[in-house]
Amino acid sequence: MAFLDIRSVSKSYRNHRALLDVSMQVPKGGIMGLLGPNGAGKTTLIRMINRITAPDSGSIWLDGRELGPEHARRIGYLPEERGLYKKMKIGEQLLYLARLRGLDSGQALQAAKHWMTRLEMQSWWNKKAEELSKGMQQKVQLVAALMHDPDLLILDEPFSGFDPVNARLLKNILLERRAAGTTLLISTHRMETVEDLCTHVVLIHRAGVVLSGETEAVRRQYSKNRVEIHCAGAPASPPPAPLPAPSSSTTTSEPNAITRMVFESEPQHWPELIDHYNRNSRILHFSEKLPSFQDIFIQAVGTDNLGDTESSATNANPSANSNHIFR
Amino acid sequence: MNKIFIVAGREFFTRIQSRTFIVMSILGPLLFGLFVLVPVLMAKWNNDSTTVWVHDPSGQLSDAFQDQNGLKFQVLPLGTLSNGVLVQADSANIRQLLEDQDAGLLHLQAPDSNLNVEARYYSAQAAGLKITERIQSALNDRLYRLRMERQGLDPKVIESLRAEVQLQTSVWTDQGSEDSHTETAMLLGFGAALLMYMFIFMYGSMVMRGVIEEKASRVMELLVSTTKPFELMMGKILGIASVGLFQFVLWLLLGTAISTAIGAMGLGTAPGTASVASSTTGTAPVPGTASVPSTAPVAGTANSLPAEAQADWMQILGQMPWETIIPFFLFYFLGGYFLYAALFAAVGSAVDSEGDSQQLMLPISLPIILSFVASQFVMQNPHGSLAFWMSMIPLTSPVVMVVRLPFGVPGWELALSMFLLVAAFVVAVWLAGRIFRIGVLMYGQKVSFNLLRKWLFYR
Repeated sequence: MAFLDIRSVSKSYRNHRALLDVSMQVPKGGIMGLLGPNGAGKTTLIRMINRITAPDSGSIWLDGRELGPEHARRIGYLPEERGLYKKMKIGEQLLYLARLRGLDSGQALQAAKHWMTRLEMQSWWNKKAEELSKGMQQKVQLVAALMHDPDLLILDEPFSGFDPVNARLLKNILLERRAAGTTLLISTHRMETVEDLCTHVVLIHRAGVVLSGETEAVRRQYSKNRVEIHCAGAPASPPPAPLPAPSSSTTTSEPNAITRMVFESEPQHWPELIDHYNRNSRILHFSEKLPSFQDIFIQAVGTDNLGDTESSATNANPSANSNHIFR
Repeated sequence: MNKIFIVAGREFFTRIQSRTFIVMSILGPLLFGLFVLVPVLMAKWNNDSTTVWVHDPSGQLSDAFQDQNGLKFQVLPLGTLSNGVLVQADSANIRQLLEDQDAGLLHLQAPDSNLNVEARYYSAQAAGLKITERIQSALNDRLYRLRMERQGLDPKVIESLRAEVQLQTSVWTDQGSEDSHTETAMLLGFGAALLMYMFIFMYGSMVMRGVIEEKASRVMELLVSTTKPFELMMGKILGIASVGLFQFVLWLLLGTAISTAIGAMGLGTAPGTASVASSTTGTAPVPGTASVPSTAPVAGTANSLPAEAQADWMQILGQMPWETIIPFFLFYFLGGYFLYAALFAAVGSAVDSEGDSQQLMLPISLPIILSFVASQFVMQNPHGSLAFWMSMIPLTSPVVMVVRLPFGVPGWELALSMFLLVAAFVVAVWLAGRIFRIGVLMYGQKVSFNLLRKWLFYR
């Protein structure tokens, strides 16, 4: 049974529909990548799981129970809009947020110390948030999301704003959490995050789910039957019809030249292709070229929306988003 | 419920640790102390005894003058100056008399046959009103008597004809009449209204700023994901109320210490009276009063009470119906604060920055200001229809009703007004809760009343 189960959830605002009949399941220990252009309804969905807003219809289930106030203790949340009390000491903010999640003071203190050590920020306890850089503040918020050891961790663009070192640290922590049984929901625009981390993806567009499933399955589903062949030496003669000619071909300089070719070809022709190049050259590499999530995203969403994905990026106001939904 | 206290706890502890709180806690009573001390010191310096030399060749008038409040009269020995009009020869003597800057010379000529007197006051600097009035009234009084005596009236008869009426005021009740003390009641009511007004404004807008801060810094989303908006709002309101009460207690303690210290410095009776005023009419020294209209009655009356009146005043205070005033005052104090704090929280949740709050603040601050201004008329007519209606309307009743309390308010009026206040509070919390719930997560939208109305009534 799915750990997070979203059952045909709909939500409308006054003059625009944010989500229509959206369902998705995330298995326990899975990492779900939540994709979609801005204004598609991702934030609304995340806010519903966090019980900030309520769905008009449909229901959300966590670990076999319908979502209720008691789940605050089991959910960790890194919102897209990062915010801390500017004048409050980091240590005190963390204790406060953890207590609101349901930890008692002792547990909160212990957890804060543990995670501050883990993220190499022990010396920040008495610093005020306004003294920290944006990336540093993001680490504080990450700690706030992790402190109570949640079963479901919801992260909105967790990697933006981190340098490569911290990004790796974060990735390691997320994988570690997953190994410990935490289920993750990551909303992101960075496709490499999806390819790197996510076991499942769901793409929301115009208030509905346009594709969902396990990452590999989705990639295969969008496969254009593209194969890549690397051969030793100069390009050999192209294969005879009905086999396709290479759609692109590059050759490195001598000596030890390698020719890299890409073919658009139905899978039933692949053995003949291999055959041809085996006879005329020496195959160094053969692989199916799966589409990147960048391509899948663009194909699924269409190019019409790319122009304004950024224009409403920081706009949390649903009625303002309606313009582009109903254009 | 538990989360309300966690939120309230944060509000309380972070705020009382803030620099502004500490500075204000110390500065408040100091400012107030200064506010009390300065007039007292001024009065004291003012009273630096002025010696008036009385030159009275006839000897008929000089005993009319009595030393009082730093004004000392001394009769010049006859022959020091020439009788009648002063001449050039007197000038050296006069200069010597007036060498002391605070001395003056009252030159009287002998009364003529109609008992008219020519009097002239000489001083190194122009004489103050206080001195001239004193001298005039003493002279008039004496001449009046002399003329009566000339008409053949016995001095004893004249004394017995003197009328002195002191108007007493009483309240007629079914049990008979009881004494009322209009002035004390006014002072008391005014002090309470002032306190209420300041508390609502200072701490109500602190609630608003707190919400704006959480919204602007985007902490709100995290808070709302763990806590119900209602819990957040109530926690904030309660936490800030305790900050305010804590500060008032600090002010009261420090203020009492300071006024005791002033009293111990032996500056006469005035500081003592003032400290009574501060601990009874205002219950706490209040800084920043200068910016509020018409504080003069409080300070003025308290400081100008003569020494003899102090004991009376204490006695009158003892007769005030404290057992009804205090509990009702507390009720209106908290009720008014909660009502307004909820509205302030709603405004805070609807805007992005403090600058944007002005337009929405207006409908909230207007009733408070209005009720404070009206309280001065209510004091003059505490049972009129203005007083009645304004103490019924919940937005004005907290201020207006406390003004009326010391004058005695009929039980049914109190009950109705309290009921309305509680009802309004419930409505305000509901209303503010709705706006809050939607407003806290709205960014970048210019909020108009029309939009607020939509938020209120949508679904």
